[in-house]
Amino acid sequence: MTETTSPEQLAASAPAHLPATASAGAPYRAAGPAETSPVVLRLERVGVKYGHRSAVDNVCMDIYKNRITALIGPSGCGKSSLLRCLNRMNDLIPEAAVSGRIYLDGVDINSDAVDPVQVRRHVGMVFQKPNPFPMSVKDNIAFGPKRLGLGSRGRINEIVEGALRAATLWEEVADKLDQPGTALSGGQQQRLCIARVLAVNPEIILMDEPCSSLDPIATLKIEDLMRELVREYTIVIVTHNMQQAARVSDYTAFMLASEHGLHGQVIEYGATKEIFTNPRDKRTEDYITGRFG
Amino acid sequence: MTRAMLERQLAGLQGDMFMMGEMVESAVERAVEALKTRDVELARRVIADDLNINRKRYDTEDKCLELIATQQPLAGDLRTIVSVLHVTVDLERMGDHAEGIAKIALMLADEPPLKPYIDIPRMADVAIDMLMSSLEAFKDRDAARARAICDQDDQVDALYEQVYHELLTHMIKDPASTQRATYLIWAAHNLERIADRVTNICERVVYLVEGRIEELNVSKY
Repeated sequence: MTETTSPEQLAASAPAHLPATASAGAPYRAAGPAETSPVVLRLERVGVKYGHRSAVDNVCMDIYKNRITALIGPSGCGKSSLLRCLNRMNDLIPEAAVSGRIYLDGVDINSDAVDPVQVRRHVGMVFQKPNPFPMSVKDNIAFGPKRLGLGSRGRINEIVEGALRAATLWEEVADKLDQPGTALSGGQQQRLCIARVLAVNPEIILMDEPCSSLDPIATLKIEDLMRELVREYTIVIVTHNMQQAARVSDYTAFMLASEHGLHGQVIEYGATKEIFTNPRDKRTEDYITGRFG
Repeated sequence: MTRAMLERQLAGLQGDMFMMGEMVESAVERAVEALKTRDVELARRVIADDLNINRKRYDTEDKCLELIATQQPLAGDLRTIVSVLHVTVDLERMGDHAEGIAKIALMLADEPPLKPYIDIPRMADVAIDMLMSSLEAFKDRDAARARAICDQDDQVDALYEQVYHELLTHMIKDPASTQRATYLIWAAHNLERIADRVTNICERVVYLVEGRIEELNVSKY
């Protein structure tokens, strides 16, 4: 894998600080057993507006390193909008405005001094539908490292193999590296997209319903892969599949909008075991047991 | 998403558990009555009926497993099913204790009575009252009541102690009574175990309502 720019370098001269206590009375820490893993992302009163419409409101939460955090909630609760904040993908939506602060290893990623492209290199994203580039399997993986000038041809080949192995795809495509990425099965394409993210050696991987277009077997392969990847990376996943959140994540945040698509908030954030066996908030219980949503 | 089917199945599951509770109540009552009245026929019926209690337990367990496999229950639904699984195991064992008393009734039926039975039926009354109250607390999701029921276990323990010492005195005074007295101690011990198992049900009620396991009663025996 490649060497990365440290978040400190990334931030250049941006002031880095991590507030020690929560403000506005909102908890940062997930409820549940004490977590020993460090906080890699801190969200402080994060809001997202599309024009005048508030989609996400006052979200405060800590995301822990080498853990899988799932965002669940009904459609229109703001979970994808929140996820997109974490690597400044909302910058690409003209009317979107993000408020509050998001600290990546203590660095405010929305600071003027921070390059959004560098943020996206540190915080990669996998989308709902597999979206391989219209090029070969190998070039799909090599694309990012080449653009970032991460090494010689030989080094790039190593990166390609390493990323495909890490995405548990190497055995299946080792003899198809020159074939189009789009010729692979849906599940393989999604693992190819994960490998593409891994090739630039991110710190965090965001996944926006990564299995929603996959069959159950391909879904389980991605879930197994996530549990492997979390040894090295931090993963934040948005999923509509509550069983998936229960199976795969360490922490779960339940989001709910006060009206459809308006003022999405984190209602409850805790250890996944707690959320799915003994949620503290009745709205969480009602949602996960299918009483609404 | 509809919950109508799940709600029906959950209600059915709890209905089965309550019915099992009534079967156990009847078994304990009849077993002690058979002991008191030396009614061999009644004791035999209690022993035969225990098979129905056992069947009900396995039938309920099957339904629980089916619900878990097909509905992937979560949160309160999951805790309900897990609690029913535990409570039905306790009820089934209580049925075995009632069967044990019925067997003792058969063993003592041809023997002259040692003494009038007072404390053993009293123990049975308290244990049955505890059992039915615990199932009501389950139905009403009443953790406070479940905790309070456990205090009654001390009454049962005190009665057991009384019976034990009284029967020990009999044995010392009249060694010929040793076998009968020992049987009666077993009968009382079965009732003590029943009350103790009720406290397990109460612990499940607390788990059902509050989502945490709390040991409510550490029995002396």
